[in-house]
Amino acid sequence: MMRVLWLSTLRWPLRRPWQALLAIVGVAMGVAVVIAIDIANESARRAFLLSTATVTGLATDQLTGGPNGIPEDVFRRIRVDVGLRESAPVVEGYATSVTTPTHTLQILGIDPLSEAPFRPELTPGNGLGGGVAQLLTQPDAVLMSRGTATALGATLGQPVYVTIAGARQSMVLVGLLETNDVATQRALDDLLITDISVAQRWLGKVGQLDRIDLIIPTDASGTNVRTQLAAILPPGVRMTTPSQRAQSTTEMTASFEINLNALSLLALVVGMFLIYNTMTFAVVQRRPLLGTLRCLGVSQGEIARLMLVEGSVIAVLGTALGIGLGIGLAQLLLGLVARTINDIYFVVTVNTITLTFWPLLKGVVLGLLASLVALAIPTWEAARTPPRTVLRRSSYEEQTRRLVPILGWLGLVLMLFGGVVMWQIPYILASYVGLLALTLGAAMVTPIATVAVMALIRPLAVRLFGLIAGMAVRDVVTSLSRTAVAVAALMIAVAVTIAVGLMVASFRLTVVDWLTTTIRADVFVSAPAITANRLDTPLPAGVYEKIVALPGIDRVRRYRSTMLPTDTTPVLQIALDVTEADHAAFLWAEGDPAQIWPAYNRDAIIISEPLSLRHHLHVGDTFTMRTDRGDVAMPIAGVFYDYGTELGVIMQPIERYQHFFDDPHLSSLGVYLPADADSEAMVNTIRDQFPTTALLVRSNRTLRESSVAILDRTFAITNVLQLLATIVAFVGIFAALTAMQLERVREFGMLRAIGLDPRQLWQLVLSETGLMGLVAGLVALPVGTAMAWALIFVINRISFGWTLQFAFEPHIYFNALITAIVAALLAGIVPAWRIARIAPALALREE
Amino acid sequence: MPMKSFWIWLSCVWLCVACGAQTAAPLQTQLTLAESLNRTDMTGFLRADKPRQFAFPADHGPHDGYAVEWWYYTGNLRDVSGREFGYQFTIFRSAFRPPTPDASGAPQSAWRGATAYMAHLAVTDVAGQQFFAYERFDRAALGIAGAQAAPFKVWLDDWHVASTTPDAAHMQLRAAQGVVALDLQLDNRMPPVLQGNAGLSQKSAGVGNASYYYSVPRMATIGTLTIAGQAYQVTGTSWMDREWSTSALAADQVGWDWFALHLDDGSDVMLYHLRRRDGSIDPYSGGSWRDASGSVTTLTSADIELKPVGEWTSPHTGAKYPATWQLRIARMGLDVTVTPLLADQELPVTVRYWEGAVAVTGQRTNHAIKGNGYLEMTGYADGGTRP
Repeated sequence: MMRVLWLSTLRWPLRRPWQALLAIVGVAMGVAVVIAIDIANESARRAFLLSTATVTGLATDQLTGGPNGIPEDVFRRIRVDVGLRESAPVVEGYATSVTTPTHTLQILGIDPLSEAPFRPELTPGNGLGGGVAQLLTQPDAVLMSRGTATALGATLGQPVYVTIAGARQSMVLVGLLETNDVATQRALDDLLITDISVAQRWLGKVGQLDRIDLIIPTDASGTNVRTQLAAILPPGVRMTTPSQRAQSTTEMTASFEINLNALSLLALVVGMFLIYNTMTFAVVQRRPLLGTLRCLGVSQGEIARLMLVEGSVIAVLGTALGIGLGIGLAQLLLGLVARTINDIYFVVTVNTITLTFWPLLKGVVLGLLASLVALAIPTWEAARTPPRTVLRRSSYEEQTRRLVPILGWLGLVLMLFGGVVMWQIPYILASYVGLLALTLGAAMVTPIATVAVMALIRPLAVRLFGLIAGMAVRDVVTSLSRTAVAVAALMIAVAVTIAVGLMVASFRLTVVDWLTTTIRADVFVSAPAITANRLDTPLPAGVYEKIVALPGIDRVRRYRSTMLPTDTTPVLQIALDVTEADHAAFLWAEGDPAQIWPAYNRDAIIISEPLSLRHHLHVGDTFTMRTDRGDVAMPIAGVFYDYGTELGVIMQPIERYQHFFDDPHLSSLGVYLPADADSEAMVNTIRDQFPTTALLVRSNRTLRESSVAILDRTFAITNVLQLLATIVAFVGIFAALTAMQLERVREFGMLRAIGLDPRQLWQLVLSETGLMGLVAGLVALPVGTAMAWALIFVINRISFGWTLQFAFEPHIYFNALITAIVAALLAGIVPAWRIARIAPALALREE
Repeated sequence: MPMKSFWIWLSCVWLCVACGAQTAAPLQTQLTLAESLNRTDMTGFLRADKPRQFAFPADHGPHDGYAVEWWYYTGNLRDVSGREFGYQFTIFRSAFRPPTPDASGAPQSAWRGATAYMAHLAVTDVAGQQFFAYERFDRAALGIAGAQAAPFKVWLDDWHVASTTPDAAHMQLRAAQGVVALDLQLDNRMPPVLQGNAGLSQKSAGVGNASYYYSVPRMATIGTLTIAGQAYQVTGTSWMDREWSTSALAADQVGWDWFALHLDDGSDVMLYHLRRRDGSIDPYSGGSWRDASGSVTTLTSADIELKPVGEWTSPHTGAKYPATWQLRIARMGLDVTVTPLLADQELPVTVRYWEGAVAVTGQRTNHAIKGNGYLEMTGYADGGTRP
């Protein structure tokens, strides 16, 4: 008996390969989007950690300094006075390929004679083989991996060029870094090993070290070494462990990852709907068969088992396909993720994805669990219903209609719950829960909204488009059991589109406004940096003096920005000249300007809004700064709006900065011109002053444009996710509508038989799908707005600490509505085409 | 004449430079000494090509115009209970390039120097049958390694020898790594012995294939020697060798055996034995004899009769060393056997060699004579065994 049942189950998908395929694709798409984001994020993080581990080697501890690194004499004292032989100086920096400027390379300047205990793979042959000796003796000698050499077109013994701080630098490849370990090999890629003297010269770090790696034994002698170290270290030099350091760096991207996760969560919701929709449909369609089987004496348990097995097959195949797709998609997303991290956080070189256990497990669990949960409800329902009722389809529709208002109320409650959670609990997890509740609630409200919209437009539709339109309107309502989930999925996808669109627009509006307020100088001068958004390379010496002396200049503002380590994530420190004329460039979230500036000029600092939110710092509190003179507690005079970095900014007068830090460098200059001066002409004048120096000289307009360009670039990944959510929803609605319409072949055959011509059938089918799109679009408008509100005012604020203005952009709504309708219409074309082609007699014989 | 493994190390570095980047594999173990020395480029360095006037303590300091230089300390010590120890502490200076003044005016990295230092520390515990050896490399930058004449100091990290008196008659030697530590006071009351021709020591044919070489053979030593936390109060005698040059060995010289011996009649004997590829002894071998009164006799290879009478095979490298030597210097009436105090005193360093404490027993002009000292044997473990 069971064997016959299995055969009947097998026959179903074989007779409808389209539906089985769509079901599998539906599951696959949902799984793919979710794991792709996870894999891309995880790969970027792992690449960073792996390269950190490689350049850290076996160090147990690291010394790091202030903005100007560690004075190199500290190293001599460690060796000669403390006698800690296991110590290695490091100077780090970045270069880019001349031919491919997006290809970033990490420069690691080492002392080959100190390396052996730390990074054996970087200095093969006990410190002197494999070209390591040439590092000491040959000018501009480098070691790199074979892959990097190929990418740069470098051959042994020949000069090759890279770009360092905007200037071309020649180097000579003297040896290849080789290892048999695949993971290490990958970490060695994009690494340029050079002698510390060369790195200091290339990177303008003569006299300073970026860090000193140490191996300190864990026994009593180690304790003794630590005591001795503590005695000789200058105040600005701190001891950390490599893992602490890597962690605080990777934590910098936490907000970014949270934001991506929020978006992938939305994709997940859409994906789950898709799976649910697919599975529900597979059961709903088979109700007559199931009813027949029940009449023949098949038990409820057997039916349930049958459905579960079939669903499992679809779930397994779909999940497997989804993981494959997701891995491919991750490779595409990785570039975008890496570029955003490089633009605004730190340099990470990553070209290939790394597959780890958790994202894949998440994909498998999601694919299988969501499929089975989605399957369980209709299966349970089908098995439970008495056979007599099951056979009647109308029973199911009736039941569905009874459910619609209840579902609507529940949805409303859920939405309210989500709103309250987001409003009241300022934690990111709560925001996720709230957003999820809001989304699910909105989906539950969709069927009742569908009924309502249809009731509203039916008279109008009949009047305007006649009987066929009326039929279409009614069909949408009567086939709710099959359409509701598809419409909800489309609605959510469209709502996500609206929400993300509004969020990006709001962000852009806010930042552009802010840039206009804060970027005031006419010409900006800086050194080219690798991290596009940060001025991490100091200006060459003498640039300030030369520009100040130029004729036709009102004044020059000096800026020095450095990353300041704290106990948690680093903070951006900006030291600058502030005159009364500059006061208008600040917008205050907290504090009274009349009191802020006198305090600021006396001994106080001002901090950015994200810093205030993240560290719970307010006017009147103090911020403890790690300076080269030791820790200094500085009072906070004001909190200003800033959208430059979510890590937080502290600002102080440049004189005070130079007093507390041994750092005479400047990062950039703001040049102010008389009112009628031509700033583009001044840009050229300044450029002409420094023909051989790599300087970035930009007018106010160019700087603002390039800032906005970077901003837009960071949203590239957001846009891709938005597109993906739409594609997922489109596949869903396509699968659902195709299946639904094909199932109605008999009904359509009847309609043909009683006189509808193919053109009218086309009309009917397309009107139905178009109406569903319309409903999805209409419901998506308020839902999308609510989600945008959640993203802008709750999630963004918690993760980044930014106060954004809400940008109401009508075209986003309009586009969303059109997208929904067009997607639905497109999904109706295939079924309409197939149905119209079938001869009525054949259609009637279908069963 | 401790030609020392430094030559080998140095020439490896040079070879790496000279032969270009195509050879990415570690090279040290593949070279014969002579091969590598043949390749070195000496252009721009000063040469030891004529006798010079020595001045002390100035000449204890570095001679930067020459490619290589070393400060070589070996000593035989014993504690109050008579437990015997030996130590070797050596610092080598090597310039990869001749010193060139920079005229560009751009800020220059302190690390850019072309001079490196290498140091070896070895301790022999005869009763404990233990031998410890350590090696360090540093570049002459920031003062992490270097040498100076006034006041005299030569150091690499926290390993150093420094004079505590202006005339450098008194020196302090401190070095510790792993389980061993040395903290010794060295005292000298006699003028240095200028080796070879008034301090110009010819090593092979050709002008300039020589070194400037002097020794301070008998330095009264007292201090603390620590092994694995156990501190021994020790006294004894140390030998300091100083040598600097730019090139010395010829192509067919594959290794050497060097002896620095303190005899109990107050004589100090230095001998070296340059071996050629065909197994013969190079005529440029030689030595010196200083008697208790301080009078010095230069020895030529014809004066010295050295015969290996035993063999020790290193369990680490498989190299076979002539472990025991029969030494005859007819001119001085000496006939003694030189025996290692411990068989395994092979240094497990970048270029392996054997250097260790030895005992001397035998006769001088029909009187029994005893002594101790240090023996160095190179070219057995690496290139020397190759055809």
